Amino acid sequence: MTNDPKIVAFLCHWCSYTGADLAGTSRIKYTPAVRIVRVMCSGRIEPSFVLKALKEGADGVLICGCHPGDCHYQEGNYKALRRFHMLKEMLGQFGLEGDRVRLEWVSASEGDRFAKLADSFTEEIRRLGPLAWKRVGNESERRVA
Amino acid sequence: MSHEPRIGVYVCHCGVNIAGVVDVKRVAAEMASEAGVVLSREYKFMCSTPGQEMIIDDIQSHGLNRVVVAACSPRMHEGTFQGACRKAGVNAYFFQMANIREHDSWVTLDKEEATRKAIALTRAAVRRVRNHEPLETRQVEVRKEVLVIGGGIAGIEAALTVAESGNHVYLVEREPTIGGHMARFDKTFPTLDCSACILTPKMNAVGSHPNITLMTSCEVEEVKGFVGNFDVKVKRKARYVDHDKCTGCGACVEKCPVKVPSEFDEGLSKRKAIYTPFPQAVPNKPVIDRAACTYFRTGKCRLCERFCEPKAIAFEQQESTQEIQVGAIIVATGFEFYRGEALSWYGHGRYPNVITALEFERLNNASGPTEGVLRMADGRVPQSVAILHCIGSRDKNYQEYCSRVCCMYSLKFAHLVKEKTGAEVFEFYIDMRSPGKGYEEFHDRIREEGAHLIRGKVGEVTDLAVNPEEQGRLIVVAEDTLAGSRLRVPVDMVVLSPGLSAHRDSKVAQLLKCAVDKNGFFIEKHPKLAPVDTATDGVFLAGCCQGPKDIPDTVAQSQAAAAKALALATRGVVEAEGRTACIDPEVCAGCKLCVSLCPYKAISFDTAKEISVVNEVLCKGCGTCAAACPSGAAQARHFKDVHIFNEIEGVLAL
Amino acid sequence: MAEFMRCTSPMLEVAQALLEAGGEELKTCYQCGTCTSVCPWGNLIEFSPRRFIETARLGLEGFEEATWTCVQCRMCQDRCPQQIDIPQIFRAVRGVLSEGGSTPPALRVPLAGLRGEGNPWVEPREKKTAWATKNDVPALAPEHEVVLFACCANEYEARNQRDGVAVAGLMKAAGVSFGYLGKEGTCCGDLIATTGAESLFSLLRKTNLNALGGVSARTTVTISPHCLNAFRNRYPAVLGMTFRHVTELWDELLREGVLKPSRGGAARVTYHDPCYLGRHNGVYEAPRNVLKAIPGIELVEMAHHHERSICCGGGGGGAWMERPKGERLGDLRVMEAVSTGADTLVTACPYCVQMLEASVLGLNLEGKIKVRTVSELLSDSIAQGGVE
Ligand SMILES: Cc1cc2nc3c(=O)[nH]c(=O)nc-3n(C[C@H](O)[C@H](O)[C@H](O)COP(=O)(O)OP(=O)(O)OC[C@H]3O[C@@H](n4cnc5c(N)ncnc54)[C@H](O)[C@@H]3O)c2cc1C
Ligand code: SF4
Ligand code: SF4
Ligand code: FES
Repeated sequence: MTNDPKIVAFLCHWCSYTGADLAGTSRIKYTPAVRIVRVMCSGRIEPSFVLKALKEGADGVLICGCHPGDCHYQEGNYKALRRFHMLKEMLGQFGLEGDRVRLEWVSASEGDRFAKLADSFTEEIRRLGPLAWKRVGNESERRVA
Repeated sequence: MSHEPRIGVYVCHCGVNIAGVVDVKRVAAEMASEAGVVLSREYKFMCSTPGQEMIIDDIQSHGLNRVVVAACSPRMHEGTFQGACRKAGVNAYFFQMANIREHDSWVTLDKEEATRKAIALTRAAVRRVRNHEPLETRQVEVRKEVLVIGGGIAGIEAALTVAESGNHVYLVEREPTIGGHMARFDKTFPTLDCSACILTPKMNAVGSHPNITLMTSCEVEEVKGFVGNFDVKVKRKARYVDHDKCTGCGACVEKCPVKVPSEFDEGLSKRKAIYTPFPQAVPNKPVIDRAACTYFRTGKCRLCERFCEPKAIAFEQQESTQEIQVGAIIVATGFEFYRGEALSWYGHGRYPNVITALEFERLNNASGPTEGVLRMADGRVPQSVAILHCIGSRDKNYQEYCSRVCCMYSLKFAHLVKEKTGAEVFEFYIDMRSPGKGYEEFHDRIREEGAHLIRGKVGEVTDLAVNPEEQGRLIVVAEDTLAGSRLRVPVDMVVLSPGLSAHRDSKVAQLLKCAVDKNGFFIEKHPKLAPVDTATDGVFLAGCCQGPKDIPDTVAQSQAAAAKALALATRGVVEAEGRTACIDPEVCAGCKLCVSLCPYKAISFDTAKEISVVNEVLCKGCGTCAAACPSGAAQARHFKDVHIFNEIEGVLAL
Repeated sequence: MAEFMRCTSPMLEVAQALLEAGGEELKTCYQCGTCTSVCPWGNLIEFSPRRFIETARLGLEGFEEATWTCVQCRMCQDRCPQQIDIPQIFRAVRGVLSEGGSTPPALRVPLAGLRGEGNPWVEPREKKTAWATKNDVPALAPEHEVVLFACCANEYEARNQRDGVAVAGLMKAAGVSFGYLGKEGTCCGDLIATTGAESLFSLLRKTNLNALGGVSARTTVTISPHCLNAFRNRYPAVLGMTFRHVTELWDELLREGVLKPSRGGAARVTYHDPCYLGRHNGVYEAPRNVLKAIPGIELVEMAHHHERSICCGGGGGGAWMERPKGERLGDLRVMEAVSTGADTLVTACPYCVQMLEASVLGLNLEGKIKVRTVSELLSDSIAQGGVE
């Protein structure tokens, strides 16, 4: 079990974190591999958070925000989406699989979906195997340290 | 304030909720060795008074200046523990919670894994709290106005309670009239008082109350803001009648040549294209059904217009939007009557004398299609009636839950049938559920009245006769599970009693960021201790939108929701977010990126200093600026990079 | 004192044995009686699956008698509000009783036949492929794309051989690249599985898995819905094969225009849904589409059709049990068919053919109604009109 993948999930406080809470109150079981970090809005998530997580030993990073149109701060999730595309490219430059990060919209009532997502994403990361940095530039390493 | 961190860690058992899965002792022991931790304890119920007092005592006797509680979701008890810290003189933002219940013990099967995860989550909180900074909270004024969504008995009662206190209410109802389901009933269990007699006065009171703005044919389109300060957009559908001019005389309705099935009467009678849903409607003014109106369909007619003296007909009327500002919102959108596939097993739609409970209510209603005479499709009065419980209810193929009111309303039907027709009544139930004040007595009374209550769920209703007695009748097939025999009971009429469903669209829930359960009903903040609160502060629940219930419970809940909304208004202020953004003037490069990104226009550019500045009153703390700032000058308080990094290290540390 | 007190105590050891044998789900039964009210037996005899469950779960006396009545038609399961697999509970109890040696005598012959000769008629194994040789049905060869899997009834029993021949003829006419799996295979075991004879079923399954494991064709077409059900639902999916019922194949070939029925002779037909084709495997429309495609045929429905169809009485070992007159589900079905005014009762399962024909005979209705299969009717219309 201990060499299972490790996954950091950044969840916005309003929808997705509440959705994950609902998975709990509904007692829906999912993998302990996923570890949740709360941010107020998915728009707060910076590429450096993701890189930091990968550097600290995460094999994958899940980002969840409110569904389009539902962001508590109007458009934070759209901003997250834009940054997410940048981020995927950035991972490519480091020689990492873009699929190691995933962005999903999870509403406050989608506890079941969150649990399924946690499991399916973990499964996918398990398939990709443990993370292996190929070409980590010193520059970026310093940035995320 | 920048003294050395002295952290106290508290791991909650939450009875067995956490301790049954997570080795809480081990979690506490692991934390003791984290830098800055002065003490680390575990306790049965941290949120209880002794739990909170323990924190307060420790702060005082051990000089703690940081507190971490590993327990339930911060959405549940962050406020509780912050309060305890504040009481002991520690800034509320020196507190951090680790969610080891909703995100761990309740979702993890393996105990070892759950314990490891709990350690990781708690460690993340400990590491982050070290770098916390004290924040000042501001107080924001609460608007006194309250929005009630839905005008059934729940919304009516909530609106009246709030209005009576002197506060203003906006009551938004999507139909042309208020009243909801209750307006369609004849009698109500268990007292059998006449529904109209108790409801109509309340409806009229809503219509004429100076503190209530009644908005029928309206729906909520958009909700912005937060507790105490919601900005709501309400869309009014075109009614094609100017209600300011209309006197409700009804001349137009009389002249309208178009007849379509009446929704209010479940299609058992006809209404006009210009109509008021029922005689006691509030407002008692008609609307035009565009889809049915000849003028809208063909461009000719306008008969109503010709006969309207006050010139209130307004074919040119358009949908419009109105913005309102409120401090609290009460959701009272009720339920949908179940009309799903389960009905088809019992011949509904195939046999005209198989009717649903709502059709029965209308047939029994003095102002209904038959003026209250229970008649079959051919006009005869039935000699025998079967009432079938649990249609689509307690059924994993359809609705797994028990709708709570159907046994009782079915018993009410038995009484009404007996009283009005003297017919034999066969009532088929699985388990008779009559808990409630006076309910068991009501059940008993129906037995005394001679209804045949048979324990067994009906499998089939058929018209296939196997003997002359069955010829031309409906045969109800069920097992009398107490006698152990399979019965075929020929009857004249079958009444199907389905349960209550949640609204299929969850638009209101989405607008309010409220969660709904797997059946679509709104989830309360806590099933026992916060039954009318929701996860969204300032949004309260009343009536069947939260789950099936009868009128007494609905009314009680409505009054509770109103009290909650009023408590907020009376307090007058709420603590506003201390977690705003800030820009370090030493670091800001003046690129203005954040100025354009902020959704609240809270960042302005100081041209003299050539840096951006945050207006903290406008900032809502989303952190978008912090994420975008290329120089790292913009930071989200309490969610600074360092905090997130600490947390990442923590959650990955085991 | 003790003599005056009569009481029954739960026999929890018995109950436990039933749970362990696969009757788990009976725990959630809330005794509503839906199963009893929809069970077709209720029209003929006293039979309460609900009471069976209640007595079985407490190990009370009385459940043994009811155990062998169920025909596994699945009507109750589809309606049970607790979604309990009621037929499975019967199977579990049968398994336990069989282990204790109380298999009903009527089942001993077919069981012995299957054990010894691989067919329930105790016919010598060598005769399995005689029908195919006689009628030029090609034996399976590596180049074939489709395996034809016939039911023991098609192989050993004269009436159903006619159906088998019709099927093979149609396949040939349509140019299907197929071969018949002969002696390598054996009875699918579906019916025997429903009597709780687990170990015998495993044996049969092993033989078939071996036989099918070696072939290159990726599709197996079965004539009997029971074989279909066994392969789809009782065999592990390891074969990676697609299993289809003949009526599904005909439906497709007709839609593609490969088979072109010309004349069917005027007939008013009604279609009996075999439980294992309909409720168990969800195939309702394919056979009806085939019938509707035959010119001159008018299809009328009985009072109970599709999901509500009544069992012929052959399922769950019923085909081998003797039932007194007045207690035969097949009779009920034939009477429903007759009252539609149809002259032909069509079905798509060898056991249904047997059961329904027996009832037609028993009720002296030979002059009124004939029992045919979908394949036979289609074959008639193709033979007369030819294929392109
Ligand atoms: C057949 C039957 C008989 C019953 N008999 C009895 C009885 O005898 N005694 C008893 O105590 N209980 C009885 N009940 C239960 C009773 O109906 C409910 O307790 C009660 O109606 C609940 O009131 P409500 O206001 O929550 O919901 P509703 O009556 O459903 O009212 C909800 C209102 O909200 C409106 N609405 C919905 N969505 C929106 C939206 N998005 N925007 C604006 N407005 C919206 C609806 O149009 C409706 O007017 C019976 C129920 C049924 C089905
Ligand atoms: S239908 Fe299901 S729940 Fe009802 S008695 Fe039968 S097995 Fe039990
Ligand atoms: S499977 Fe069919 S025969 Fe068996 S109990 Fe259920 S309904 Fe009756
Ligand atoms: S608050 Fe959820 S994405 Fe912005």
